[in-house]
Amino acid sequence: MSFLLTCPHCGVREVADFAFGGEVSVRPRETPTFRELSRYNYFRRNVAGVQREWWYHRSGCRTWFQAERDTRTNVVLRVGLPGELGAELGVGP
Amino acid sequence: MSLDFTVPVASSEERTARSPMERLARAAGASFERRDGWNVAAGYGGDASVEAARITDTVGFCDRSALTKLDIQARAEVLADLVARVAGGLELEPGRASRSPDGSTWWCPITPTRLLVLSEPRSGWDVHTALDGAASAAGEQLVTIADVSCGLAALTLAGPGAGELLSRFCAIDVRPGVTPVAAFRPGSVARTPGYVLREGADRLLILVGWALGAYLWEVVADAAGHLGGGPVGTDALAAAGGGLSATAAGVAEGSADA
Amino acid sequence: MPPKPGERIDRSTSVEFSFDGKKITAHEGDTVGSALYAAGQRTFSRSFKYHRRRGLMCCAGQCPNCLVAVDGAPGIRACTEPVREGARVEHMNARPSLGVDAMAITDAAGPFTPPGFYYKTFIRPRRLWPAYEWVLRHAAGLGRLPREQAERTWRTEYRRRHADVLVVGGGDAGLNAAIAAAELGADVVLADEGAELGGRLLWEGGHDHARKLADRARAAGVEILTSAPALAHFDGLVPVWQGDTLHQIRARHHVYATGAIEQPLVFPGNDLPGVMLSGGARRLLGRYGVRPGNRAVIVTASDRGIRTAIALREAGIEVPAVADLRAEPSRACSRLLSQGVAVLNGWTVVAARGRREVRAAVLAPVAAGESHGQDREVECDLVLVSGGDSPASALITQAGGRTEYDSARGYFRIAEVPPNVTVTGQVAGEGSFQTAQISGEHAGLQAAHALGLGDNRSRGRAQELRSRLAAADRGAEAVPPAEVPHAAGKAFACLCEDVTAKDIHRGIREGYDSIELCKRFTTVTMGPCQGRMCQLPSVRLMAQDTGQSLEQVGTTTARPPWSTVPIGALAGRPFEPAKRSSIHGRHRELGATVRWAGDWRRPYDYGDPEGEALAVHRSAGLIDVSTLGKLLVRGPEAGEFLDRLYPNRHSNLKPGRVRYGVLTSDAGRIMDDGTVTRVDEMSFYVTTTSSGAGAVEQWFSWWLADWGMDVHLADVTQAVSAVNLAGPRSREILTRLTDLDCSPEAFSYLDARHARVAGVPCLLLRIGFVGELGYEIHFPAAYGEDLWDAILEAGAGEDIRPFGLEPQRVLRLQKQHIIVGQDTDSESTPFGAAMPWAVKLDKEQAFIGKWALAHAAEHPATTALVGFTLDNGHVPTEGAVVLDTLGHAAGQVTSARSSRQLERVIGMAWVPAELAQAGAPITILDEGSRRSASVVTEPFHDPSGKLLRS
Ligand code: FES
Ligand SMILES: [Zn+2]
Repeated sequence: MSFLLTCPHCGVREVADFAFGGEVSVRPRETPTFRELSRYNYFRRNVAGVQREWWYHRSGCRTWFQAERDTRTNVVLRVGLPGELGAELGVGP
Repeated sequence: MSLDFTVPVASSEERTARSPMERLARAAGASFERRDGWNVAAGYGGDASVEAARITDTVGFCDRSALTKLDIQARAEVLADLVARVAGGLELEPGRASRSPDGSTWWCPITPTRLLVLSEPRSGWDVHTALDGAASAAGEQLVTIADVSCGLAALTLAGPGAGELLSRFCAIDVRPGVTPVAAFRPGSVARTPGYVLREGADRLLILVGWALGAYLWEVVADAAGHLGGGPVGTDALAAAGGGLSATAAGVAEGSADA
Repeated sequence: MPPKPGERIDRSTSVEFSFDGKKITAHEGDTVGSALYAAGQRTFSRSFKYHRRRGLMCCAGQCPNCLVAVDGAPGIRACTEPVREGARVEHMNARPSLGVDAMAITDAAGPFTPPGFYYKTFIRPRRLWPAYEWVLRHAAGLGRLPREQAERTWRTEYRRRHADVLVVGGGDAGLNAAIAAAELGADVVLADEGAELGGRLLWEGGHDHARKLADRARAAGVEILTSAPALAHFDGLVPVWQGDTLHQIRARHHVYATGAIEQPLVFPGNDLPGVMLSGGARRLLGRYGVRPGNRAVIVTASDRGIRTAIALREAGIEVPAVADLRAEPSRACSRLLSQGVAVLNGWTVVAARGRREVRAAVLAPVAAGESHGQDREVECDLVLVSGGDSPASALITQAGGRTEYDSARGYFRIAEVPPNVTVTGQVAGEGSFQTAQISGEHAGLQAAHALGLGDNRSRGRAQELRSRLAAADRGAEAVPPAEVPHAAGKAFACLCEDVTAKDIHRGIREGYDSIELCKRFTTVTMGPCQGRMCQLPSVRLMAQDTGQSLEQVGTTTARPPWSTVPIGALAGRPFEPAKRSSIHGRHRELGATVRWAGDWRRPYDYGDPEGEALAVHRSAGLIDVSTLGKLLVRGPEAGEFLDRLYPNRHSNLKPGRVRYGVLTSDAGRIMDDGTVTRVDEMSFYVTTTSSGAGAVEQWFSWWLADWGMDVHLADVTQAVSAVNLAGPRSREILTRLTDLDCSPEAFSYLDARHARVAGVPCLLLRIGFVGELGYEIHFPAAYGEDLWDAILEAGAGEDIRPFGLEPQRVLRLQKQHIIVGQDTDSESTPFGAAMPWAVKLDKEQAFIGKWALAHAAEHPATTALVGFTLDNGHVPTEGAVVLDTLGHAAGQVTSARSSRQLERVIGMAWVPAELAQAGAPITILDEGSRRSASVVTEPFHDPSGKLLRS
């Protein structure tokens, strides 16, 4: 893995500059049932295709942002700060 | 101030602020002088022309860890307003540092809401005080000024080989077309979080975590030696010009010191 | 040989080096290989498995046959390694010598070492594996590495290069591409594996042209890297290995002009010294003035072999026969025929004969299948084969390109490339002199245009080149070599790995009938040449055997590295990003044993861990705790932010007070622990464990990004150094250094104060995990040494001692303060870890982990963390098993130490929940023996905390 990722603040950097935060999921708003809680904690969609995920510019500006990446090719289609990417891509387990 | 346990200003002459690279600089032949409370590697050996030649012909590296470094956070408009007041109308631009009109301070935007301020220790305290004043003038708005002078170790790479030297341990593209003078780039340096600031055509300032200062020296000294360069003292660097000026007060006239 | 234009050697010079102790004289410009060949050396190495003799084959750094060690560095290709005065060259894979190799017996024993032999034979009995391993390691493998770091003298340099365009391959096409792109203003790097630019031009008469192109490229500003093979294409990052430098090139556009690789043919005896690729002979002749032999039989599938025959004859070498696999003679063939050379169209080679070297070639008609008695044995000392040119497409497929079989040309051609890659020259099927040049220039223009450079004129030029390319005559193409009748003797499909055609047939019979499986079973294509010499032949063999088409068989995935590279080159600089506290230098001077702790270097002890611990109990000790993570959390909502993160409450903390906190995940598991200090109404100062600092900072900023609260975070871990001054005399010592009122009333347990200590601005916390009165002092890192010295000096009369991590662990254990990650694991909750008091389920905020912890509170875990003590003096191993009442494993010891202060063995362990009560007996199974211990649920030392609060 040595693809490039674009930090919304700093621009293009090697992927090694960043920490991966996993796919974006939705935390329950209300007290979940045990089943819902387990699903939230332990289940991931793990798509072969474009998924929305969290990235942290650990070696740079220390900002968390979201990226839409094709997990098969590592091509990153879009990046944005939380809330900037809209709701087109379904998220959460 | 409640956060002054991060500010390297001792009330006793007996205490000296020391760079994390001090021992390595000493081993490389540095002669030290106490300046503004810091033990500073002023030069290496008797012949200053060797250091000067590194800066003009190959590449020299100089410990700048004593720089005052302030990490300022506020909402983008508040931050812009703060800088405008303290630095005499300077405007912030993403990816680009601005030097205050008197040449004493670099204002480096990390994000729209975060700023790294760099100045020589002599003017650093004035900048800090002025910023505190401007922050309290901001009223209700949250402004955080953290003194991270001891959080970031710093080296200046100076000379025609500065870019080539950086390329030996850093993946950031510093070709002049991509990273022109004053460009500021947060990113990994020598496999560790850092910042790169192009201070001049042949001059790059790099910063990494304080505890990694000695490590950074090791890496840079090894790579510089391979390119025919070596360490230079702060005197040789100052003589070459192009860095921050240490003499000015660092604060624009009429800044908010309410 | 007489001098020829274009040769590389300088006949006026002489260079001397040694080969296996023998003196060899060469000219400047020679390679080790050409010099040895000129000196009469024919065997260059012994093969990997059967230890067969191998001689020069490609003379282009492609095949595995000439690997030698130079000055102790193994795996060097003699044929491309320039000669150096005084160099010490040694053979690699034969003992005692190249001429006599004891292991060559494996050749005769051939049938006993079929593929899979090792996997199947040496697995039983298991206890003999160490012996097998020793034998196998010496039987197989290539070369020896120096064992000690100190023996290694070479240094690797790493260099990042950003560029607009990277051109890989400096032949006709690559050079033209680089020039075209650079002349349009692109920042271009060109890398070529050869010592000189020009590729094929150099030995096929185009050397002057090559030199001119190279000059033009230089003038256009192209950075040229020679002797610099590209190793891989990793998502656009191309490592290029040059001498002792690894260039990591990140270009916006890639032009691959990697050419084609002449393929060998598979027939019995095809590995005998003297069997060579046609290009190998031409390079020896044209570049180094070395006569490859006296009588050469040529077998070819294309005009390449025909041109070789002509060149050889011009050099006065006899060519008794040329077998051309193509049924119809090409134009070039006719020329040869007219010179009276026997060109046998539709013929091939079925065997090479000879013992040490080739002595004759057996030729037969291709169509005959089983031999019809037409075989012709031709005496010779050289068999030159040319089995067609296979595009060097590995890097292109790594970049995302796709290949497909082209039956007209008999190889896998590049069918598709990703948008930021252009292919040109022979690798793209443009192999003639004319088309290579046109397609090269076109590729350069295309690359520049893709980057937004160029103008109407350059676009017009590109258009013109396209039409010229479309109209070009591409000459005769190669045909796929036909099936070879099986004769007696080993026919090697893969020279690197000593895999014969039979091995592949056998593999297929065993069911490994896909090319990827066959690769793993037989190791075909897995040698130093990375399949350059065997990819196509093995695919052909598989197709032949399984009745599939070559398209159906496909190729194996081309994996990095494409060229051989010393493993040390990939290891990075020999510097570890070690974090060192600002007091580090002083610790060393005080005799500290320094060890890794997370990414920090820390004093483990100062030579006397027991004495250091006792000093803390009896008078005072000082420990560097700068490695603690330290975060400023600031803002009007900072209290609420922390309430959401921690299971306990912090918003109600008063300024100047400290509280312990444990962080949990949403699964209710313990992530980290530390203290929270409110330094003023708006600001909290949070400490974390040393190893958790990075993770906690990320965790906090992640939730902050998600919640968007009006809070600022600043990581001051490295900006602030900290020491813990602990022990009954610590108050007196501190009082000497500060104006602060340190009386128990004015500065009591869990208080925080701002003060100057020895003139240094500090934040003092009255906390400590070592069970005695103590102060954690936080201050600007630049004063690390000075403050440390000042405290030790002030405490000299009290016999203050510095103490390290090990005594601190004993002291902590005496208080049953857990170490997250040592006493807990990823499954531990605060309830299990006996810290229910750190969880406030009645808190209004839905803090992280609340739901899971609420569930856990109602469903107690089956094990719990408790202290234990053992009185027979045995210290159990950390990790020893705790048994339940039935004797089943039910938990484990996580910490255990012998305490001098308490004069007994103490520890922490996970035990069955029903045994988690004071005095309960537990059994510990430690390396086979059972020990009885009893549970202790309160601190071993100062259980009431009287000393701590004093
Ligand atoms: S011949 Fe080199 S890997 Fe097969
Ligand atoms: Zn960033």
